[in-house]
Amino acid sequence: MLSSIDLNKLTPGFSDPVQDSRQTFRAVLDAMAHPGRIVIIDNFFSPPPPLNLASAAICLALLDFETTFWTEDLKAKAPGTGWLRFHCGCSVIQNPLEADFALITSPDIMPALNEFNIGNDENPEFSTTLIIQAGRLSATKGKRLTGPGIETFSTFNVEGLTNRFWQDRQSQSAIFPLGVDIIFTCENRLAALPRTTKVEG
Amino acid sequence: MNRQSNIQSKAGTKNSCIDSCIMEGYNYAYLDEQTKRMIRRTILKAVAIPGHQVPFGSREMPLPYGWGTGGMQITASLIGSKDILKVIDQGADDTTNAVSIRRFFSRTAGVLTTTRTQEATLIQTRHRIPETHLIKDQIIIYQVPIPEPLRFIEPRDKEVRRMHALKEYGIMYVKLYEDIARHGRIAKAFDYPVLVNGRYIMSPSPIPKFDNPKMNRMPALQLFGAGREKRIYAVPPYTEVKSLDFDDYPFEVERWPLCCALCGSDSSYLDEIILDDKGSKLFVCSDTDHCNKRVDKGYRGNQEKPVQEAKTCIRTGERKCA
Ligand SMILES: [Zn+2]
Repeated sequence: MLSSIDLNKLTPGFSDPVQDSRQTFRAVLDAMAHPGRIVIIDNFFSPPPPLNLASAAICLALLDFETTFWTEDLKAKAPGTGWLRFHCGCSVIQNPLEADFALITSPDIMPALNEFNIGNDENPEFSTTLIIQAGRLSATKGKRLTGPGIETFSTFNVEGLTNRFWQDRQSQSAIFPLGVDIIFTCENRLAALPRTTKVEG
Repeated sequence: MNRQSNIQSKAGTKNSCIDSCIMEGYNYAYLDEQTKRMIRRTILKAVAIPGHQVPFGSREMPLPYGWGTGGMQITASLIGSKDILKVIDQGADDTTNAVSIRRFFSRTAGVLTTTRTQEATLIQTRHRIPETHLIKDQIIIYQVPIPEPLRFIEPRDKEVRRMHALKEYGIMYVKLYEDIARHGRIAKAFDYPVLVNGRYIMSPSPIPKFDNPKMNRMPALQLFGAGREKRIYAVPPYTEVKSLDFDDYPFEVERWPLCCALCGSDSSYLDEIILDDKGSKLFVCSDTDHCNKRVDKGYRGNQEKPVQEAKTCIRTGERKCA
């Protein structure tokens, strides 16, 4: 596994793993508890491409040898995948259906949502958490979000996603409590769309 | 020194300044990073599926089960230097249990502590929700002994999981209705079951049912940790939490014949205090912070007012207080 990682080119992860992991987790929790809220990762390091800062931080904070990880750049042996394998020790797998976490860096060609794990009736938590690197995140105009974590409604927009993605997401509402939870990232910002959130517009 | 005075002025408690020296040679907030990551992943799943109990690999904590090891593992996975922690045990900040937990996190995580509900970012609680309304971006962490609300009806774990999976909750309503047939009302006064987001029946932990309405659409995030039973569950902010009831027997909270003897509050949850062996008693707020705050503002109760005098009030459900 490690043979494909070029240790000479490997950049460091968190400078303070304990505190940086905790802060990143709190940012993700904040986002997951307030769907559509844009949260900033207050940290600085230089993850290799194609990872953006927020995606890299989330992976460092949540992935380890107990989690399975899928990303579409697996075959290309992208530096980002080797970096994550080195820093997180997660097992990188081929089948998105078996992934605890999935990182999507090219949302325009991403698999359909039902190709990931949606959990089962007794254990809906067995589902995949998707980290999608997208374009700009915005809370001023766009989709109308309602559901747990949102007082009345919130407005949210994320650039770079296909209509098919939003159709997929729409059809997930029928299978609740099954479904995938999504974290969108852009540079050092993130926002979440847990399975409970109803998206309109 | 600077830090100590900061804590005192910020938190205003007697306990916090002696707690402020962070211990060396320990994992930050006691738990190792691997365990924290596992708990953090569990918490995120719990938030995404409101009311659903998510199993986790509970670790040993340096306290016996029943002392809030589930709540402590959640707190340990969240807490950081910017947090201000409040810990209550049955509404009180000053019990041995609450003081120990507060001191534990002061020492292992170097955080500020407070007794004031409105100052806290994290509130770990055993068996009460503060009277002061919790606000946006606060997090309340409940210590849970028995997370499974269906356990007392169906002991078979496999069957219980199936009932949750299929939302087959008829048996729960049957049990509550049997209560009404037998006692004329639903007898459960604590740990009164709720339906979360219209999907999962959930145990609110052994809070009095008086506190149940506070859970509904609460602006704060609610996290629940059961250490022995290895379950974490959650209610996100502004989520519907409905106490189970019937059209002809709507859910009701308990009332008291008197107001708080110390602060005169007529809207808080009261504890009965026996004064002597003749059975004299007083009612005082269970939430010590709420009571102190009212006393500080100049509110007073009427300590002499005998319970008998107010017995007529019980029937009308009214409390006439000073
Ligand atoms: Zn009082």
